[in-house]
Amino acid sequence: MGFRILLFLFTFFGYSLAFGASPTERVKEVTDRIIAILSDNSLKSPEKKEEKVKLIKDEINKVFDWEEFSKRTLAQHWQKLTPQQKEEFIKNYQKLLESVYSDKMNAYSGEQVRYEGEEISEQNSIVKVVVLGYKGADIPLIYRLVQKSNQWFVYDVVIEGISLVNNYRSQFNSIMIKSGYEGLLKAIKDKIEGKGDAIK
Amino acid sequence: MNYPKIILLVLCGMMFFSYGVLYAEEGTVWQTKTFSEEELRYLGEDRAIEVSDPLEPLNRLFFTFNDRLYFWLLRPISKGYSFVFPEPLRVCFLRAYENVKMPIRAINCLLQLKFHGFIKEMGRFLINSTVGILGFGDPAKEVFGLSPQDEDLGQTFGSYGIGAGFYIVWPILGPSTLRDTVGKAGDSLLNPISHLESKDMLYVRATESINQVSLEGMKYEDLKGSSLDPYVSMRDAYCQQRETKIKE
Repeated sequence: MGFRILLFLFTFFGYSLAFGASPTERVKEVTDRIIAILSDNSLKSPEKKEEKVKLIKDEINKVFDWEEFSKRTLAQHWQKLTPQQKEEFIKNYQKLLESVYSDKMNAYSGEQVRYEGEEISEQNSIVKVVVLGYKGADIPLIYRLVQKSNQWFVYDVVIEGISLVNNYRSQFNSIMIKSGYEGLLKAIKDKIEGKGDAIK
Repeated sequence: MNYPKIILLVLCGMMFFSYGVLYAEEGTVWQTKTFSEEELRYLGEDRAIEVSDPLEPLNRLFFTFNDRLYFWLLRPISKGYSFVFPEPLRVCFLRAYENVKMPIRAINCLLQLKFHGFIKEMGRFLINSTVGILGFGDPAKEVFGLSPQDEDLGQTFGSYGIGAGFYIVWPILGPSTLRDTVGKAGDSLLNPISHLESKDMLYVRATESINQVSLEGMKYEDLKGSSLDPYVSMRDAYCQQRETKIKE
């Protein structure tokens, strides 16, 4: 009997390892955990803010592919970077997003999320989501995912028809053309340090 | 009444005149350059939707003007306004304005051969103007599941395959493109509000804008806060959103 259970668990585990979670399952899993953190009353006080932000960052990092995100944002400029520059860029770009969005966490006020289905084509997929009743309106979101070693990773979020990757791409591209990679890196670092708009 | 018609005519002329020029120039915009196989593979469907921006210096000037207008005038006024009128009431006002503008959405549904949409819009107008008390309520959506059809002439042109032309930032009116500006001018002929006496019209338009700003919350602040170059970020956001709407 014990052996049978073991066998069952083994095959079950093997199965889920081989095929991985579906894109929606991946997104849902992390979203549920983040909502749990945001709704956790013991984390609501201001002195717990740092801990809360850290917990959320960890959850996001489990599903978000920062390299893919960086690569698609820089598009044709990506290949021109050295491996060190790439690494440096990924790190700073990630920091930029964290600094921009970590102050937005208090905006959550119990909104629910509805999953509207997924589309998969080979290595890419999208997951359609609606955030219900944010300030009286429903906000459509689309997650874009890419499959790497049998696991789905998010690399872009499209909010109300505006893709994060595309929006940063157009900004970074115009800075790259004017002041090159070094200029872009400086602009990102200035923004992280809160020196205001890098370019007026 | 002659005034908007003349603007419309001039803009139409501009659009057709600039058509050839734009197509000739398109190759110079980086996004339309040919991508290598590998680039295409990872860019996939999320290749940038970028519009050309020959007026950028002027547009940036107007962008700054609108930015100041927002922070110095619109925002403070809308805060006072929000204090007087609670949010649910402002939502009712918004609905009433949208209800009056039914012809824009309905006619554009027809122009795009979206007959279902047209019927929905007519149904919405009938229900909301009566049971919904002059459009302040939205029983059409809440009870009958008839949701509003977000259609305008710019989208209609887009669905006919007319490109965005180039990007324009209008003072006060904000981001647009050549195509959408012509669209807006045409839509305003369909908008009952623009057929009011000019003094009343200005008053109604101004109140409508303040009401809208008061309901948008921190949208503009968030866009500014998250971007390295708010002008480019706004341009891209506008164009992406328009493209999405045209595809729908």
